[in-house]
Amino acid sequence: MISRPPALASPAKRSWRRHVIQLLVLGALAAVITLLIRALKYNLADQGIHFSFDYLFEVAGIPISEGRTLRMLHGWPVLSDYLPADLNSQALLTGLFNTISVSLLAIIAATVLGVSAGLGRFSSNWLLRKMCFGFVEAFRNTPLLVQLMFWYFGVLLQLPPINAAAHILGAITISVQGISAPGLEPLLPAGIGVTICLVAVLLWLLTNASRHVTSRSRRILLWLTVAFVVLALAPAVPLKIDYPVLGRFQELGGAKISPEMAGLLLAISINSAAYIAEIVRGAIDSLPIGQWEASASLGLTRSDTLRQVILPQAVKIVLPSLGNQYISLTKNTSLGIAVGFPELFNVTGTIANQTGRSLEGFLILMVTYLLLGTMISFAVNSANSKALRSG
Amino acid sequence: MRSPALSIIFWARRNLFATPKDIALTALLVLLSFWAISHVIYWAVFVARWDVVSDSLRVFLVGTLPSTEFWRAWVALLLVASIVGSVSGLGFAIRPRHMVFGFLLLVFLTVTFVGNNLVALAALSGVMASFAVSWVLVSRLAPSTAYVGLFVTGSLALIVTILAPAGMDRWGGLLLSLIFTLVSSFFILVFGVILAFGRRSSNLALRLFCIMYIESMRSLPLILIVYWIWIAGPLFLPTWNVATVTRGIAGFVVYFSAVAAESVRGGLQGLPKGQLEAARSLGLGEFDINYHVLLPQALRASLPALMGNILDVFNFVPVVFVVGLADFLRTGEMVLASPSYSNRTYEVYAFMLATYFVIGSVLTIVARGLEHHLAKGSRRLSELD
Repeated sequence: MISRPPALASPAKRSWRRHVIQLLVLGALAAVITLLIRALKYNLADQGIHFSFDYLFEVAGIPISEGRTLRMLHGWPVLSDYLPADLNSQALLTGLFNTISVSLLAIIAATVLGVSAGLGRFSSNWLLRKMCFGFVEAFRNTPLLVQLMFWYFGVLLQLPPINAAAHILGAITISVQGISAPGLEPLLPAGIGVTICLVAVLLWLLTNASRHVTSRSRRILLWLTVAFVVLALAPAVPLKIDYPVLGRFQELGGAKISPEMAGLLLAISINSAAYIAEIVRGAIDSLPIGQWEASASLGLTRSDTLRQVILPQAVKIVLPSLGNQYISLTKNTSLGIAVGFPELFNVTGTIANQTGRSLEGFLILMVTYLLLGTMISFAVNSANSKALRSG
Repeated sequence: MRSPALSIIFWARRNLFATPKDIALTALLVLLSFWAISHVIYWAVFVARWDVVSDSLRVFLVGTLPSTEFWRAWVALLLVASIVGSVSGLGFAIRPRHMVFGFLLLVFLTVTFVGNNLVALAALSGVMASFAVSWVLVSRLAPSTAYVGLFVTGSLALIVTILAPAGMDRWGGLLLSLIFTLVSSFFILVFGVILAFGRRSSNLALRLFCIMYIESMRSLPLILIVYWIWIAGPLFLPTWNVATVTRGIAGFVVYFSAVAAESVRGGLQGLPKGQLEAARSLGLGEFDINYHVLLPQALRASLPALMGNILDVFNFVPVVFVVGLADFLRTGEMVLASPSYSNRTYEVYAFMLATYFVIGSVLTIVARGLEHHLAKGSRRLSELD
C-alpha cells in the first residue's frame, strides 16, 4: 500500500528535521561502536589480555618454510632468508613477501592466459572458440579452493621423488619437492640497491600519477630513475649463475618453487585467467557490432579488425574491471593456508596462536590488505587515465 | 535451398578450414583434444574404481549426521527444492523440455546412486516433485513477489528448525553447503539492499558509514573475515554459545552484503532519473519512492549480478574449513583420509569437481537466461555462430 502524500513542511522546518535525523543516526552509530568496544575491553580484561603491539618486537621462534624478510646488514636493510630467531614483525614481513611475490607472478600469468582465452572467443576457428568457452566455464563454475586442493594433492604431490625427478633441458628439475632451476645471485648483498630501487620506482609512480607534471619533466624523472637503478645494481652487476645441486635429500641452491607455492600459483592464475577472459569477452561484446561490420565492409580481416579497431577501444573498458580482478586475486592468495603456504594470513594466524594476539593480528592484516588493494587500484587507475588521455 | 550435407560442408569450410593457418590449428586442436579425451575416458572406464563414491555417499551428502536423523535431511532437501522451484517460477515459465530433463536426471541419479533403496528413491522423487510443483504453481498463478518472499523466509526458518535438533555442528557434506548458501544468500540480499540504499541516502552520516563499510569489506579476504568472526564472537558475546555454523554464516553475510550492495547499486544507477522525479512530483514520501518505485526496478536490473553473487557464495563455502566445519570439500578430504581410500584421490576429486560444476553451471545458465531475458534487442558477436 502506498501511503498518502504527506503535507509539505516549510523548507526551514525540513532542514531542521534533517539535521535532527543526521544527529540521531550519528548518535546511534557512536553508541553501538562504544558498546562494542566496551564489551571487548571488559571481556579482554576478564581474560587477562592487554591490547598492545609489543609482541611484534619479541622473538618469533616459529619456523617458516620459505620466504625472505628484511634485516639490517652493515647498516643497510637487505632481503634475506627468514630464521626462527627473528622477531614476530620479521615473520610477518616474510608472510607479506610471500603474498606479494605469489600475487605478482599470478597477476602476470593470469593476464597473459586470460587475455589469450578471451580473444580466443572471437577466433575465426570454431573449435578454438568453443574450447576457450569451455575453459572459462570449467574454472568459473567450480570453487577455487577445490581447484587448489586438486592441483596440490592431485598433481604436485603425485610427482616423482627427487631421485626419479624429471629434468627439462638438463637444468630445470621437477619433483615432488617442487621445481628448481638455475637462478641469478648477485655477488654483493644488494641492500643499498633494493632501497634505492624502491624509492626511485615509488617516486616515478607518484609523479606519473599526477596530472600536472609535464611530459618533459616526466621524461627527466624516468631517466633519473633508470640511472638510479643502474647505479644501485652496479656493485651487483657481475651476476653469477647459481645451479641447483642435488644434495642428499633435496636440491640445494638455485631458484626454487615449493610445491605449495606452485599449487597456489597454478590455482590462482588459472582461476583468475578464466575471470579475465570473461572480462575481455564482455568488453569486446559491449562494443557496437557496427564496429565489426564497418571494418568488414572496409575489407579488413577479422584479426586485423580485432587488433586495430576493437582492442584499442576495449582496453579502456577492460581496465577498471581488470583492477578489481587483480585485487580479488591478491585477496585469494590467503587460501594458501589450505595447503600450508606461508603467506600473510597463514603466518599471522600462526603468530596469533602462539601469542594470543588475534585482535592485533587482525588489525595488522586489515590495514595491510587495504594498502595492497589501494596500491593496485592506484596503479590501474593511473594506467586507465593514461589510456583515456591517449585518445 | 542448399541440401543439409552441403551446408554442413560450407559451415565447416567457413568455421574450421578457412585458411591454411586455420587448417593447421584445427588439426592440432583435434589431435590434442582427442588425446586428452581418450585418456580421461580410458581412466574413467577402466582404471578408476568408483566404489569409493557409492560407499561413502552418505558422508559426501550429509557428513556425520547419524542415520536416525536422515529424515530431517530429506525434509530439508524437500524444502530447499521448493524454494529453488518457486524462485525459478518467478523468472521462467516451465516447459516440456524442463520436465524431460528432470525425469532423465531422476533416472540418472537412481541408476548411479540410489540402486534398490526404495525409501531413498521415494524421497528423491518427492524432492523433485516438490521442485516441479512449486515451479508450476508460481509460474502459473503468478503470485505477488512479496508472497514468494514470505514463503522463502518461512521455508528457510522451517529448514533450520527441523535440522537444528540434530545438532547444528553436526551438519555436513553437500547438505551443509546448500543450506549455508541459501541462508546466507537470504540475509545477504536483505542487508545488501539496505546498504545500497544507505549509500545513496541524503543523510551524510549514514551515507559515509555505508561507503566505509562497503569499501573496507570488499578489500578484505573472505577467509580473514570468517576466521575473525569465529574468533571474536566469544570476545564480544562471551555468555552466548553461538554455534560454529551460525558464526560462519555471519562471516559470509558480513562480507557478501557489501558485494551484493554494489550489485544493487549498479541496478539503481541504471534507472532513468525520470522515475525518481516522477515519483517526487506525485508527492510520494522518501520511503514510498524507494520501496515501491526504485527497489523493484533496481532489483530486476541487478538480478543477473545478484545471481553471480550467489554463485560466488556457493563457490566460497569450502572456505569454512578454516573454522572447522565439514562442508562438501571437507567431507571429501575426510573420505580420502581413511586408509582404505587413501589412493582414490582422483576419483574423489573428479566426483566433487563434477558435482560442483553441475550446480555452478545451473546457476550460471539461470543467470545468463535472466540477463538475456532482460536485455533483449542488443546483439552480441560471441553469440552469433
